[in-house]
Amino acid sequence: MHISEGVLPTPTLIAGAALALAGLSLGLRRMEQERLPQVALLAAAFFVASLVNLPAGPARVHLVLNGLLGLLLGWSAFPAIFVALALQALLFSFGGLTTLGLTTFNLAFPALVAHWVCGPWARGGNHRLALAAGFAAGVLGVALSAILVSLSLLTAGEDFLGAAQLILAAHLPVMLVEGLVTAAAVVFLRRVRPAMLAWDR
Amino acid sequence: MTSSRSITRLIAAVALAALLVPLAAQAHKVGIYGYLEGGKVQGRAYFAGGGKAVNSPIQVSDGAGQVLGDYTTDSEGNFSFPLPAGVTPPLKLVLKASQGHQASHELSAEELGLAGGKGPAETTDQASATAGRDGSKPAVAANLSRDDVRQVVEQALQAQLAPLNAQVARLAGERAVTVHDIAAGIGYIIGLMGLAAWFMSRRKRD
Repeated sequence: MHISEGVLPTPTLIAGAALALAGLSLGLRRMEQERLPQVALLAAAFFVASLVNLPAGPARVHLVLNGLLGLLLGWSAFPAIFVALALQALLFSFGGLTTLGLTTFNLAFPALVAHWVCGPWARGGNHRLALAAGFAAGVLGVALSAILVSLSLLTAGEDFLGAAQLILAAHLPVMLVEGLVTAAAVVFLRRVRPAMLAWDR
Repeated sequence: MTSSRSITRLIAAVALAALLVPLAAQAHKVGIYGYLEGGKVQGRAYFAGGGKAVNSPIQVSDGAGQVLGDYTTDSEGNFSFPLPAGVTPPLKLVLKASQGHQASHELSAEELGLAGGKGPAETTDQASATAGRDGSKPAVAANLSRDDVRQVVEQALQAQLAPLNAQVARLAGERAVTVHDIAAGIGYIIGLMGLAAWFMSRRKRD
């Protein structure tokens, strides 16, 4: 999901940075002080998650957790993901600094979509639907990110369908694991701290 | 359960998981290294974490920006091609793996053996020519000049050092993630959270 430096043309990187900036400003404006520990906690979880590797053919893929972040944070997923990605780039040399804006958008926008699509059911009265919504959010976050990454690579001259198929196939185990993790988180929070799920911004 | 206690437990769980993860963690990226041996550039492309970059394209260019050739790694991730003549150092190898991963490696003038003036191809020819001319062992010893001996020794050294060079190149490129990095990252996140909280409370007061 992290595109290396020097792969994408500059206009793509600038567009990505602009989109990330828009998301960041909206996310920061809607963040409330009481929610800060939650945002920080999820940013830390996202930061660490990329270190968990799963084999996928010749390459290795890592956990993303953007579905979970989006479900719980909404627009605030933008600053959380941005900070975590910046720290990954600076501390692990994982991903580049020029691609930071684009990667933030590629991961945070699907998080937002997961929030919009799955949020109402995750918060709703039906427990089974909430579990399904949690699973769907986990899968949707990774799947949409794979498509956005393929679109980004399209601007570098790569075949979109080929890249999309490859990335989606490689991330199938990740989608499964994240679906389960997000579903488990939803079930846990509904029982212990429903207020954490009630974030609707 | 009070809210602060459950938050504390969640934080403790994340911290514990974060400390355990480095046991299996590697910085997730591709790498490539190469070295010169016997007139050929050899090397390997890999995924940090243990995977091989099979059938991946490698583009070779020189210091003048001229593209010298395109090669592909084999089923083990290895590649090998003859060093072209008249190369302006440094020699740049760029690996383009799938899913947007890219890595590069440069061979400096010293590594290419160009700093000394004599190219590696010349060394090979000289040594074999000397061996062909003389038949018996004592005759070879008598007719070997200082230069011949130096070249033979250089060749032998190159062959011996090649695997060491490969290891050094690989270690320089790879970098395992340590507990320090994770602790640093989480520390920064908590620090930023504190700063944000301070700014927000000031805004509320005004």
